[in-house]
Amino acid sequence: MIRMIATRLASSTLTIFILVTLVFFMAHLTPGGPAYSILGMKATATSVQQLNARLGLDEPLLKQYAIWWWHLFQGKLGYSYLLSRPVGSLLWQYEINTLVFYTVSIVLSTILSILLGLVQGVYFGSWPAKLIGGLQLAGYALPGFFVAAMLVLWFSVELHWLPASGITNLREVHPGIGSYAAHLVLPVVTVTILTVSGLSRYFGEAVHEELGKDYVRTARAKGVSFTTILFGHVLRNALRPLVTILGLSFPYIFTGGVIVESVFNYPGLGWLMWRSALSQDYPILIAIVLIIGVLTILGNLLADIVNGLLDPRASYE
Amino acid sequence: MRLLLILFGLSICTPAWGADRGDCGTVVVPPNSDITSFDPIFATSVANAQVSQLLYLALIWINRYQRIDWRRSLASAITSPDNGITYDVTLRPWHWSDGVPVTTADILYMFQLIKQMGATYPGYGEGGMPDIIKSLTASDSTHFQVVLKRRVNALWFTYNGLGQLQPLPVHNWGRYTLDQLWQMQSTPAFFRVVDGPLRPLRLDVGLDAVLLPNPAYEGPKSHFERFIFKFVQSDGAAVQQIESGEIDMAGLPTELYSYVRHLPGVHLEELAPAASWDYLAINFSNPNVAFFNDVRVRDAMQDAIDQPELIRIVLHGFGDPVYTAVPPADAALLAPELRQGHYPVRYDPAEARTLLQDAGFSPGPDGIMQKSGKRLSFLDLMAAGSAETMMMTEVLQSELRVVGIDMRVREIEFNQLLALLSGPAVGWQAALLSLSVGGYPSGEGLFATDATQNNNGYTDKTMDRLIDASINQSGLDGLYKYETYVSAQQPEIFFPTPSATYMVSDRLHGANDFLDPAGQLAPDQLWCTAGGAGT
Repeated sequence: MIRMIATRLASSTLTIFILVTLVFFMAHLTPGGPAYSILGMKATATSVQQLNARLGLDEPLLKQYAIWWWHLFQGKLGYSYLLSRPVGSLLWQYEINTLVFYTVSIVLSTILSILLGLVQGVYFGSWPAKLIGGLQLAGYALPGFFVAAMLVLWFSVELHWLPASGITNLREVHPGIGSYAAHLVLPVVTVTILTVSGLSRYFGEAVHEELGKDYVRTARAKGVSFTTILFGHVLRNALRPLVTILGLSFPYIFTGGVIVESVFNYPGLGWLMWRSALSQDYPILIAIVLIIGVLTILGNLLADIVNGLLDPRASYE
Repeated sequence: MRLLLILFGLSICTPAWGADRGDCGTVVVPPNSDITSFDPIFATSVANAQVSQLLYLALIWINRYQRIDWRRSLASAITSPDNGITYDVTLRPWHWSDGVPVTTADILYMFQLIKQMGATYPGYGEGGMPDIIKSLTASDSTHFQVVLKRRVNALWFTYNGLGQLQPLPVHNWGRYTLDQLWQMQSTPAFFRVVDGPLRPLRLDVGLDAVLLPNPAYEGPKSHFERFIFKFVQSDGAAVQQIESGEIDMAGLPTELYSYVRHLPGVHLEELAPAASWDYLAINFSNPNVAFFNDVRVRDAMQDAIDQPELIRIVLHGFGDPVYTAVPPADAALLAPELRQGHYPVRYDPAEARTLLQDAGFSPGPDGIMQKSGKRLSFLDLMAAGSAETMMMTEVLQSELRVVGIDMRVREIEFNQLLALLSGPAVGWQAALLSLSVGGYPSGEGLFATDATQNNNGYTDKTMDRLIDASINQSGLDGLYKYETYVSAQQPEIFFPTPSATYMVSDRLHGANDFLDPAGQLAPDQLWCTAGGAGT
């Protein structure tokens, strides 16, 4: 396993290098630039030129690229042009919010997916499974922004039960944990609806497939109870594809969902990435892409390791 | 003869405080864009300028009637003994929040920063700043004198030049370099020494900025415990949030007017005409749209636009027609005949067609005018994201088509649009923009040949001469002639401009006096009815 991890990490370094390089050059070659975002209507050729000089954007692109890597090797992610803050501390500030938001969402989604998938697998072909299947399709087909907007419309605007945006009630001088929790509800529900729709369907299929296998028939023939078979054997085996998908979702725990965070004005990394892309704040944008790349690779790796623990027959070569 | 500029700025009386003015607790208001800086010398956006003006008092406060409100100004008197070259300014006794007196050294410090910044200073070139100043010297801690390199219109320099100066705490900031100040512009803790009504507590860029009343403030006190600028990312979100009580006021998205006007607990206030105007910038340097160089084509475009109808249909009546480079808020500075509505251009489609035929155009097979086989067609770029602007553009498109002008439209991101405007001449043909100008609406930065914001190649010797006269001669005759000529020439096609209309929570009062159309905020004017703290 150690050899597998080392090989995977080594090959991934090249992938990340290519990813960051592509994003760096694509971002810098896009028309516009941070100077225009900063100066707005006050932008003139001279002021843009002078501001670019101050920001170091008048240097040749290859030199800027080399400087970026040099700073990275020194542990620096750069300085946000628009927010006037070090990228590292900014990312950390927004990362915490995303981490809380997506950890809750993913844990909730996983539990619900397993429950729904078990019902769907066990009652495959009967009305409970068909009902769940219909809901899964509906949830899967709905775009995230639509689900979010509808939830806001119902629960914030119509019923006034939950806040529509932000992370705490701004009118409270010292917002408590309840305020944080209330602001998390709608974003978490949105992500959970979207995630469970796909994840539970995957898991339901896997449960149904496992239930049809020879080892289940043999166990039942030997008189092992269905509950023991389901939770002792089928669940474990059916979890493998789920773990793989969760591994791929791992980066979202850190980077957030651009659309959901934007709709709810939730200050997470996804939201920050969206804002940075619009204002061409390259240092933040590239740093987040770097994080996404690293986490995608780590997520895959983690999924393989967990799968290996679930089924020692799994090969890593 | 000493010209007492105080004459320009009659003192403004304020109504006596009502006994029932209650505390609002927390007031939440969305800025019109992200707040990214508290520092006035880096304030490039209206939002940043607004927040910085809450922390640092301006030397002069120009109100919505284009007069100096001395009660809110740090200067107590400005005189020009030689009528336009020398300006003597007296500061009123004032203190920073740490108890140190505000002095002329703080003014000199800001002026040095402006000079260091050069063209990156957001107000560079406006009111001639800073290059027009020959010397700025302090005679003592409350008096300083500005001497210009040449005689200019005193009103112009006072409003557009001197108006940019404000004291910054040199005893607190003086040890930092410009680059260090740049890096700390969004750090609230750095701005602990202020002389304005509020001080910053927290800034989550792109989300909100929390401000607290400055306890040492020597002006009228605020009626709230906290003031929050909460960024709202869309018109729809603003409506949702004022409906759910998350914010207290927000600009009216006119496209949602029908819904908003029936909202319980919310009322609409048309505060004042806008201090800016919307317009179609046209590229005089692009050979593909060389027809823009013909004034008859430009006048025909203006004659094709039914501004009152656009205001009625798109803005639901919340707007003002604009035919020259004077924002509706500055109507007091319009030439008398323009004030009465006698512009050289007006809605007249028949006249528009005649003008185009005089310019050599004739209708093509598709109804679009053409000349020597070239269609009268252009591409208009507009910043993405505003439903109101898109609706306005669609109506405009159809009105231009009626007289045989084809306007195509493409939405792009705002900063990309700005980059195109500053790029090669062939990169763009026309662009829909909005612009605000200083208190004295002269055009030296807009239409003078090679002016800082004249990046569309407009050049006209008569315009240059009139602009020079408007800023160099005393009185308002020069400005009037310039305004009239701009209207006749249409160096950009002026559009109807939305007024400053707000959705205001019923608990909040004083919005009209709080928000000056020029963008200045008077937080002491806000108050709530008893029990309306809304915490």
